[in-house]
Amino acid sequence: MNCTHVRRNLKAFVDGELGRLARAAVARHLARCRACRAEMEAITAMSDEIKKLDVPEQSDGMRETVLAAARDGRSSPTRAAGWRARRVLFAAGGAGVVIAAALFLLFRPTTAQAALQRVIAASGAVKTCHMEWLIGRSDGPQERRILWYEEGKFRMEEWRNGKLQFIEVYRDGRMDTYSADTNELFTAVTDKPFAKDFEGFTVAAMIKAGSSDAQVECESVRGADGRQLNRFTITEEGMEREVVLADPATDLPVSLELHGPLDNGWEKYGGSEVIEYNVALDPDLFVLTPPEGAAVVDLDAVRAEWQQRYDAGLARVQDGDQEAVLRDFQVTSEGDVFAIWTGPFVGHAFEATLTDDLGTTYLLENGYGSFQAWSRPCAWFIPLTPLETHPAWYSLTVATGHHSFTFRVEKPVRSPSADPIFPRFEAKFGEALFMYPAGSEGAGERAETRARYWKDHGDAQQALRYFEQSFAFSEREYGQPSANTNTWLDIGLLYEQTGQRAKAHDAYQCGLEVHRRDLNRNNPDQQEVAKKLEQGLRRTR
Amino acid sequence: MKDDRRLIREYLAGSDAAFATLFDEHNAALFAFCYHLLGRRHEAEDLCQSAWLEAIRSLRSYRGRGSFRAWLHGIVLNLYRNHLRSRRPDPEPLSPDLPSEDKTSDPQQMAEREEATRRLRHALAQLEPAHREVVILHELQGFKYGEIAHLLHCPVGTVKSRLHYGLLALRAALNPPMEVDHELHPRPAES
Repeated sequence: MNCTHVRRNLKAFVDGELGRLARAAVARHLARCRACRAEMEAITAMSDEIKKLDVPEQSDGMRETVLAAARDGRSSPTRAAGWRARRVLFAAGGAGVVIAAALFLLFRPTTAQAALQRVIAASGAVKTCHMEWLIGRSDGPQERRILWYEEGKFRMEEWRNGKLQFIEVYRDGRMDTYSADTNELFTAVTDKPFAKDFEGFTVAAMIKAGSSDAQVECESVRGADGRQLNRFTITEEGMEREVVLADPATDLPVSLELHGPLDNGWEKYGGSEVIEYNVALDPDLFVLTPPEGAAVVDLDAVRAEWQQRYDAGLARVQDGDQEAVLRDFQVTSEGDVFAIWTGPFVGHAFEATLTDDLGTTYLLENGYGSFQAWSRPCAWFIPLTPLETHPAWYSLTVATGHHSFTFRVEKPVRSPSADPIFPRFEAKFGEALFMYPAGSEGAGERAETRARYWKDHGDAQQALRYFEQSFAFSEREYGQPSANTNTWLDIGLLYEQTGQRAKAHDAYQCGLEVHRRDLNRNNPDQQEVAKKLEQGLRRTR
Repeated sequence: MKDDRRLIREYLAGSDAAFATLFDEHNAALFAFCYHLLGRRHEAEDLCQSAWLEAIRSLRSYRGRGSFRAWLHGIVLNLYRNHLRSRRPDPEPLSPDLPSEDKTSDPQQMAEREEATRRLRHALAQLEPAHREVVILHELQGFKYGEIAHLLHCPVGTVKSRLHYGLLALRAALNPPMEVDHELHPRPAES
């Protein structure tokens, strides 16, 4: 999922209204995308503000009026109100008609829906499948996914800009995931996501997931090879459109496309390049042998060990009748600190601050000062400049409006690398779920945090230094320095301030290219940023 | 919901107490819905009362599909939409008519809080009706997406979309325009 699609689903994610796969995809994206995390927090804050709206007391008298009407089984004269006249308009059918109509609409199958159900059924009956997907516009970074599946087994490879990122293999109740970036193989026993029908990964499941609440249209078209095909357009209003081309002779899809809304139309952002059914698959496809030198991590053992540690906790602090427990406190080789705590924090805004005996200035990764993290009672801190000497002790204070807890840590867990131990490891406490960032995702974001700090504090040179560092990580990871127009605007202004007009010009240009590819580009905020990028471009011509 | 159906059956069989229980159970939420839609207490009370009277008349047609609470909200929505169709839009911003419940003793904080509430209510009132209904139903009335979809007779995806764009529009209305950082932004050359 890219930022555009994640943001369209963020509210649903926050509300717990996404399906399991979409939820997992959004969570994975959030773990590596600071901008989308900030957006999520803004959405949560807005929602919290709305929920605070209260209502006045009702006047006396209505209860008796209504109960009297209920006794009489008819309405009584009340204070004059325009509503009474309008009741006549509504009286013709009453709520019953509305409900009956809804039943009719929901349950009567259309011809297109019925035809689509045949396609889903045919797709679900195949013995094997090989499919290749391309996600992303042709003029931007692209992600290729290659899938093979047969009953009980699945393999998916994810490639970005020609470079292998992940391999996932599932068979015999075990899921193996290889990360090329970190050269690690994680293995775990699981029955998810592969239930009986490989939910979410098969062609059938993809179509089914997209069509459950959508409008379906069907027309007969001629394919590129001249044969007659059925084209199904499955539209989820304002959100997604899926286009499925199926062979009427077999009811099997020959291609799938994904479209996102743009202006008053739709723009394709991904689709299949290859779909083959019932082909003989090499058995070795479903065996994931780690490359030489790869670390193999038994995730079940790790989870059990860490859950035991988390359950015990490193430290406990009381404030009145409330207790907070520090569950994890790790320091990396660069002096970055990763911490998890539990206590009376969920649903509350809180501030977390870190100090040490060296007087280090620590920056909170996704902002300065307070942030609302209803689902993630944790933080990672980075020293303003990377540390060469480790402090002897740390003091972590977490405060809500009602309580304050201070933990003193003298023997933190030390990670041997620049990453925390067990990154991308989902830890759960009650409803709270979190994951540390890793590799270039984490390091790139930490560089950007330092950049923003120096930008806000007026040191353009330092800001540029860390923005460029962050861009290098992002380019390696995603094939482009930044997908955020605001970031390009910031860096353009910084280059201008430091007299680097040519670089500023390039930055504004890049920002406008990102803007042109953004499916949300007509959003007023995005329009405002684009205007400033254009102004910058003109100034630096 | 099971209790609501039982209470309805009992009321239809002649129990006034059963209806009183139904009323007491649902009235506060229903009035709140009316108030959030209209922003004025008296109008909200009128709408709420009319909804109850309509519910009494239509109770035999409630089939138990979806919750009774949702059914009541559906009645309010229909009456409200009929009302909107037949009156001129009110250009005046909604004025809060509730006494401040803020326990803070600091008058400035109270004033800021009231102003923030006023701005939020105004922004909510300015939303497109389709977006506003969904925002109120979800954020203030606590309905899930599926319940709202059933109530509004639309797909869940539509509910998701309207909620998403409704919140975006609220944020745009409430957040001041982006300030140009003059320290970083050299004055453009005169053209």
